[in-house]
Amino acid sequence: MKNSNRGTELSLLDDLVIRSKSGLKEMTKTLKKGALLALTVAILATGVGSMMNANTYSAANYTPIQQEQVVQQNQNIPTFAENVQDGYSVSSAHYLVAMENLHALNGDKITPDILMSMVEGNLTTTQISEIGLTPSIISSIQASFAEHVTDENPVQFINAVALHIKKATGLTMNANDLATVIHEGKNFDQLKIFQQNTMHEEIAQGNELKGEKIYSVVYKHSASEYNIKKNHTPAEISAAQTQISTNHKNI
Amino acid sequence: MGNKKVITKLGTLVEEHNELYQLFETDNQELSDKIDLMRKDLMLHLEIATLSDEYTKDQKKIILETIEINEEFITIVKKAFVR
Repeated sequence: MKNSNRGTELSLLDDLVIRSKSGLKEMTKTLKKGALLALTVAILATGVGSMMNANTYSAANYTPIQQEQVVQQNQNIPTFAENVQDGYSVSSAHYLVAMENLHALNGDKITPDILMSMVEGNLTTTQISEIGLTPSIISSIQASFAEHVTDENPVQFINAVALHIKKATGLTMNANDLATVIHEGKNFDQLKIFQQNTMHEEIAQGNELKGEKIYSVVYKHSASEYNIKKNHTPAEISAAQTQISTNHKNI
Repeated sequence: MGNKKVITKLGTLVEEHNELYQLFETDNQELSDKIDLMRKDLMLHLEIATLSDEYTKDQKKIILETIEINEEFITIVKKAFVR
């Protein structure tokens, strides 16, 4: 077959992909609360997502008109459309939809703090009671997070979660920030201060100091390492650490 | 078509997508991406079918359309790209 014909066929396939997504969205709308929650947990826990981590499908694969169609057809699932547009994997986008579903099902009960507690695996009894999910569902969600944070493509997943949290809280996090939060068990107030520290340093130094390095300075006080990497004077380091220490005391 | 038949049909379609995906995975990224999207959607439909005791009228219409869409997709891929 000639290449031009194959181009036509690819375009037909794109249309079918869009119709498929539209059908899935319509099907999701028909689900009752229990089935939607079960589907969400299935996505999170049993690995529709884990089967999907091989490829990334970005908006670059769509024509502009098709991109618009996708956005319009997924307007009730904005996270999915936005994330596919942003180049996240469909897997990550599905996870976000799952998380959105959890929010939809539980109203305001799953707050960002509770979400992070789920991720961290330290939900309190009160929180469990508040959100009304069974311990087994929570365990499934935690296992899913643990699996995907450590799988072969963790940054992409973490980025997707970061975007979700950004939508929920207005906080902007990069993958390093979020990984730090997850592993160190910070809450959102602590994260704000952590980000203030990062911003303070970046502004003060006018460089590309990343969260990881800031973190090492804040918590390990590795001034000598900092000095070697950034060639700061002892006075500059001292001033930065004083500022960081002040913020740190507020954590 | 009852749920059990739908589940069997969806499973067959997923298998066909898997075979096509493996066929084009290494030398046609654009096509394999599209196949991948279709099979992922099907897997979610499969999850829903497994979770549902019985389809409603609306759900039945959607799933039959989905099956048609996937059959058409597979037919086009086979005709246009499989030597």
